[in-house]
Amino acid sequence: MVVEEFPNFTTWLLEGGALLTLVYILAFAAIAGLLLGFIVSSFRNGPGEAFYAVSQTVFQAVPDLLGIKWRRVWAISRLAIKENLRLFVVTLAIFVLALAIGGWFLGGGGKYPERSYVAFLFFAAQVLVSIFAVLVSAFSLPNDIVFKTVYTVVTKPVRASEIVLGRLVGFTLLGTVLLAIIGGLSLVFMVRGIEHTHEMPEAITEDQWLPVVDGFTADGRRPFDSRAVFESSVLSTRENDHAHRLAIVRLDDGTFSVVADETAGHTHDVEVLEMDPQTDRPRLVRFGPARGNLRARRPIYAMPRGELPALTLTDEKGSETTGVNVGEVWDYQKYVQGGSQATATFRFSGLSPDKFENQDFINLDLNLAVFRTHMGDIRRRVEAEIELRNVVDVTETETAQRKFVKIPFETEEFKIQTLAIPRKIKNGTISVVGQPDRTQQELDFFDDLAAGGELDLVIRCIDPLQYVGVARASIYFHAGDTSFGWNYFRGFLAVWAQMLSIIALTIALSTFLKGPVVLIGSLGLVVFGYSGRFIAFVAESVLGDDPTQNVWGGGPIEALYRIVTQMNLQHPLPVGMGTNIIQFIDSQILLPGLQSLSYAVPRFEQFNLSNYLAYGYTIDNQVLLINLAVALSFTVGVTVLGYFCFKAREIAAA
Amino acid sequence: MKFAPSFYRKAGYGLLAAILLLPISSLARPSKVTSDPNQAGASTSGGTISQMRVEHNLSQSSLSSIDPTSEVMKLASLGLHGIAVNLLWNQANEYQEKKAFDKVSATVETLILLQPNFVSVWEFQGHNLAYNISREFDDYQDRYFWVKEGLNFFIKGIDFNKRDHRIYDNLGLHTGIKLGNSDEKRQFRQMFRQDRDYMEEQIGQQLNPELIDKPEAGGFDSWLLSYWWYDKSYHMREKLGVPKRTSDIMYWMKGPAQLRNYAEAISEDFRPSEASRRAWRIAFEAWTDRDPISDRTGYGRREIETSFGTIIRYEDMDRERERMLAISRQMDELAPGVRETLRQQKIAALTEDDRRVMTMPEDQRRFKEMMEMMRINQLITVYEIEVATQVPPEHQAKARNLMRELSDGEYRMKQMENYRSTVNYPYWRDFTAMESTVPGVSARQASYDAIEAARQGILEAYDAEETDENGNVVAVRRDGAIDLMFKSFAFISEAIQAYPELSDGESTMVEDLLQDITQYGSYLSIVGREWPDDFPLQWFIDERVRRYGRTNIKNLMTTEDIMARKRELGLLEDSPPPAPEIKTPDPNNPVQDSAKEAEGQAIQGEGKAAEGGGQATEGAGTATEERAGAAQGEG
Repeated sequence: MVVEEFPNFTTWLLEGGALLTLVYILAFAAIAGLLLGFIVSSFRNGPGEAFYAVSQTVFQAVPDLLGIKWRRVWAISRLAIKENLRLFVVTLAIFVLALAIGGWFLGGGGKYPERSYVAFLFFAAQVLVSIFAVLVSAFSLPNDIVFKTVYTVVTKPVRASEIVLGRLVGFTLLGTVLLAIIGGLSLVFMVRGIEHTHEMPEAITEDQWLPVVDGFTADGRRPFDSRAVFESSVLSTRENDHAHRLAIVRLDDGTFSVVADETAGHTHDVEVLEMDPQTDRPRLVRFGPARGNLRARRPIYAMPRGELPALTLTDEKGSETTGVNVGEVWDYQKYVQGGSQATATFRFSGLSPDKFENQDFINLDLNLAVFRTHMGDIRRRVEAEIELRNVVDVTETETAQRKFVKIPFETEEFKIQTLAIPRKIKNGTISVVGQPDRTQQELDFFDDLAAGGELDLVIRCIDPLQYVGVARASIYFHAGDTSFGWNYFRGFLAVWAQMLSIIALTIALSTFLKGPVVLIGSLGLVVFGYSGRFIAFVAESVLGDDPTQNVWGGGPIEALYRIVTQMNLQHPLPVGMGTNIIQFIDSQILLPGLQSLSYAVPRFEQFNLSNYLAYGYTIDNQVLLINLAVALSFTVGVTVLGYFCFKAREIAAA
Repeated sequence: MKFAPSFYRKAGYGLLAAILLLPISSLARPSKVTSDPNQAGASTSGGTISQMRVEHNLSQSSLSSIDPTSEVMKLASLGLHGIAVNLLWNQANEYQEKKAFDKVSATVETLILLQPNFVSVWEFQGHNLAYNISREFDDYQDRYFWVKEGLNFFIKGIDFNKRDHRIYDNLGLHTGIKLGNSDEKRQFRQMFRQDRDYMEEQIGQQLNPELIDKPEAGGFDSWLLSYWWYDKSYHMREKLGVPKRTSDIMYWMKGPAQLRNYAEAISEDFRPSEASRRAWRIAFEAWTDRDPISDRTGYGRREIETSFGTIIRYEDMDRERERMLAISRQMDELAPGVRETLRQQKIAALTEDDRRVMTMPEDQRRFKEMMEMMRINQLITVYEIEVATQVPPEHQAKARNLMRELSDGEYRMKQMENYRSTVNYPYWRDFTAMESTVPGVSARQASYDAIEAARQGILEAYDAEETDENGNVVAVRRDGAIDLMFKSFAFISEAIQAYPELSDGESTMVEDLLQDITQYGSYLSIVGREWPDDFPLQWFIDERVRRYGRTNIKNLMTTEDIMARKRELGLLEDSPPPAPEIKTPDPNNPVQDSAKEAEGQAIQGEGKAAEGGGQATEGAGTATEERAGAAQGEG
């Protein structure tokens, strides 16, 4: 899985300035609310009265917030829930319909069906819940005000804060139940969609078991299992748009077993039902359920160690470098030249036995890229080597024992390649300055190589003039798996956080706008939330100080002009008043405005953590925490704003 | 009764809406199938848009099968499917940049539901999967998977584009070239031969897999599959009458060319046999006269529409030339002896040097003299217009008609010539014909054995033992790579006699031969053997050196080199090689010899024109244009 950022909650909160931003948001919300109230009241009653009203509101705010009675909040919440039960049912029905239709589009789901399923389900859940959140929140308060039903509440001893908060709680509860049902249904839908088994179309005949000679089968395949002695030329029946091949493998104890290949991200256990007495090879087999999909790997990634970064690269002469780009647009992976001194060093920390499910074999997962500068032997994959070595204290370089082990392997591109490293490694080397190296030493992974939990992993490409590409997340220790269901729940927790933000935002808008305006405004802001990154990019690239870095085409009005007149992006606009007006509106009004708005709502795309689930990784706790913190702080901020806006109405009415 | 102003406003809006309905109805009214049992299937014409849809075969049912998923997608996008398509294209590109290929595949699947009848999308994305994405993978097995993904994508497009042959063309192209011509072709074809699952699951819906399952190919053959896809396309054009979307010249060539590729592939993958000879024969017939597999007209007999709108057939070349010669003879009858007189005058006007070159025997002319001779031939050519202008006045009208016919004929011949040379028609005709002869296949057999022997490091003959029919172990002498290559050259020399054009020029075959001969020479050097006196292709080397000098064949021995070497070793008497016999022109009768020579040239020129040499026809074309111009001037 592509991981471009490795955030840390504490660093994000304190050093990244998130806490400070929260304070700013709260202050801004309070001031903006009061200012709005003052302006409106000034128009109606004059500035003197307005000032009095605002001051009163400020002083009342403290007891108003402190004196919140949860009983009254709950009463308003129940009312909010009752009002929207019908919409709840309709949304649920739409989701069920989406599931039914979604099945058509998902089909077999390609090579990794769980990825399509997760992407679709999370997208559907996000969109539906967002719309639901806007719809339930947008009309509630404005309608109460329009139809004057709000008087039945405000005439009671209910505070403005309780009216706002009650709605927030009520709608959130309703949304939470909706999300829980959607999550449960979609999990069942996905598991059922992916669940399957296979059969062999008919008994496997002798000639359909192809012997493996010199590492290849008679039809030119490299066997999928390196232990294979025979591989089937026939495939199983096709289910969910894929089929499996079988192999007879020789196990370490000399016995034989039949295994199925890993296709579509999973494999199956195979039970032999009948052996061919002539050849002693299986004739009839039975496939078990799918195994290996819907998982949640727990990775331990390389981390910075003090001043040293998590990943360091050296070039072909051994000098530190930022890595080679082999000409790809996306420079996520940096490449290491083969047959040279070029390396990539990953620094790991916290490798203790208790973190690993299986302490006898430590799984090292590789997700490497390969780039060939010449064809080479097309039947062989590019070879690389991994060196695991202990971390030596810089003050003891003269005396310390350097312990390391080298593991050569053939790379497998675009798939997770697992190297199972035994805890007791036989062919280790111990090296001390001024002494001959001691080779073939038995080293303990945790005691010798990862002593103190720290370990350096160096990767080299062996084949000359071929390249191996790495990124920080390309190599990690696979400590074990967590439950997929639990991971799924955490994924939906992020969607819930997004829903909470939208509800709070819409309620805040509904405190001072009419229902339809709130609806459009909220939906607009939700769209802004989804495309905030893009809008910020466009604004920055047009307004940026360095014209050479600016993208072609200008701002929204200029873009519209170019589309309508079919003008090339690089062609300058005609000189004249029209161009001046267009550029002025773009650069002075629209783009700065859009830029500011894009920062006013959270980036909703960050609440979609489906990638973790799709690619089978445990959702990073730090990422989840940041998402929840963003949503909660945004909710608090806009709720305070909503409270003051609601109060501003009273001010205006005063 | 008094109404509020808002009532009038609303009534106005209502009226306006009703008026607007009229043009909308006129434009967009759908056609309806009539319920009248006497007119079953007939439909009302509908609005303008409906009528245009029917006229241009653009209704969904005439374009493709109705796919509910696709229709739902289009409806669900509420008329914004153009925007959705843009977003999906961007998304697919971004996923591809980020190497999320499974997501590319899924996005493209969705994208195509929104644009199911836009063939370019199928073409682009199918190619993208089979070429761009497959090559991203290091493992050839992964590449094979993605090539098949691309092909499967095209197969999905068939039902959506029932009236467009380009999907089949693309299937033919990608199946043929990607599986049979890429760096990994050996591995791809090997896996494809046994890929029964793929054949039955994917191809089986469109074609009977047995059509391409051949014992001589060791199973399924990718070139044959490619051929069948093209054949499906031909079926659409010929039987279903779908409109043509590509130019004829390449379109009709593709199918027969795959049969040639098939013959070549099985001759390289396996030891050539009678089966491969038959395959070459079929390829020859499909290329020229009639495809014996599909029973369709062969490429040479196909009517090809040129870019100028004329219709030509490659195999009509000889007939057309005969017709032209007949017209020329008619012209001579109108002006007896004029052509010969003019010719003699032109020869007499040549310089001394030109006459020396002209009288030099052809086999002694080197490259420079050959170039000179081409120039001289142009100087002494008598153009039809020159003859026509000297036709007596009473026959001028007939001469003008003949000139017109000549002009038209030469125009068509020129186009034929251009088109034939574009697709290398004569070369492939001769090549497939030569390969389908017994010496041709024997040459390939010996060559195959030589490669195998060289791969095992066996260059020279060796003694071996084998068990005979009676079970006795007997000693046998087996050839090494050198002797096997020698045999192969002997067979090639024999086979190529009937097709002299194959050994001429810069064809692929010439390149291959030179490469093989060079390889043979290096094997001789390795084992320390001398170049054999009776080397079967010695004439070929000598001819190349004589005509083109030593370019590309620096390391090969010509007869002169062999003689010199022998003299150096004292194997021959130390006498200079005989000087080439150069005929000196008879000063009293320079015309006699040169006329004979020119006759020979003319025959050779004709042969060249027939086999695709452009020069002669080019000149003739120019002459014709001049004649035509003169005739018009006279008229």
